[in-house]
Amino acid sequence: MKNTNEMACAALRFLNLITAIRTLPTIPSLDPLEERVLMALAQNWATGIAVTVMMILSTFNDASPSTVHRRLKSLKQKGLITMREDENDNRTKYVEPTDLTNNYFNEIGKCMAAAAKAL
Amino acid sequence: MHGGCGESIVMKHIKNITTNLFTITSVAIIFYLFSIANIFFFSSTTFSTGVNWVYLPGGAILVCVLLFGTSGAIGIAIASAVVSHRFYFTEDIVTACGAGFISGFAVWAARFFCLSRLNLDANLRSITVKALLEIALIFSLFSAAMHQVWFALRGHTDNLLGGTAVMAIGNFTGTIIVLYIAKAVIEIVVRLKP
Repeated sequence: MKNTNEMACAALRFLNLITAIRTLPTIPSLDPLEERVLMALAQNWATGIAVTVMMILSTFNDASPSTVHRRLKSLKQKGLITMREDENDNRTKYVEPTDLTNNYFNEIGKCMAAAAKAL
Repeated sequence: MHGGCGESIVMKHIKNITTNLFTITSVAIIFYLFSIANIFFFSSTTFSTGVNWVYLPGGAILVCVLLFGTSGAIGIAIASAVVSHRFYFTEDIVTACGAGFISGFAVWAARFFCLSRLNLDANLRSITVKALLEIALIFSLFSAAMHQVWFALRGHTDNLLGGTAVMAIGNFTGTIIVLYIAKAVIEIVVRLKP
């Protein structure tokens, strides 16, 4: 019995360790369309508009809504956006930035300010 | 009836011993392969005998001892003694055996320390990336300090502090490399899954 328990515990430790290893920090790399989607989102966030998924899906003339939706899902997996359901209508989902995205754009802003000063 | 019960207890003990021997042997083989890989890829980063700026087996040690506990530590100790004698201290078996013992004991002690101090569950239930990196750091420091003191006692090092620092950095960078390789492999396996 102890023998089985030992192996079961090792398996449990293995799964827990894998979970921890999978959350090791990485630099998320974006494909060109993901970058465009993120930029389009940032432009809308900057104007203070609550951005819905439907708004973003219809933004790009050269990419189908399903393609853009896949990119939204991958941006969510990379921790760059979150989705929030509307309180009154759960068919409407809002796309919101995460801390990682805010830091990213803040850094870009600082770099641009430094570049402008240097000029 | 009594004889049957006794026999079953004996069988359980035999199974336990077999499992432990299997774990020890597997861990020893893994450590040996990582040591060969380290010599092959990172022999140019050698600082002094047995001290590298990058030490890949550090990652294998950490993962094996976190998963298998004492059996893992024993496997590491045996393999480390063999590697030390074969590649680093060919003329000095006592130093090699001591280094092997320290390799197993240091990470076992680091695990014990982290379980009590970082409020970690023995089955790693609450383990986070931060805790994992803390264990890696503590293990790197423990192992490096103990090895260097041993090497100094045996007259194999002139630079105790420098050797300790380089060995700790080597253990930590090796552990980080192994953890990120493991992460990459896990992500590939997850993506390949239908």
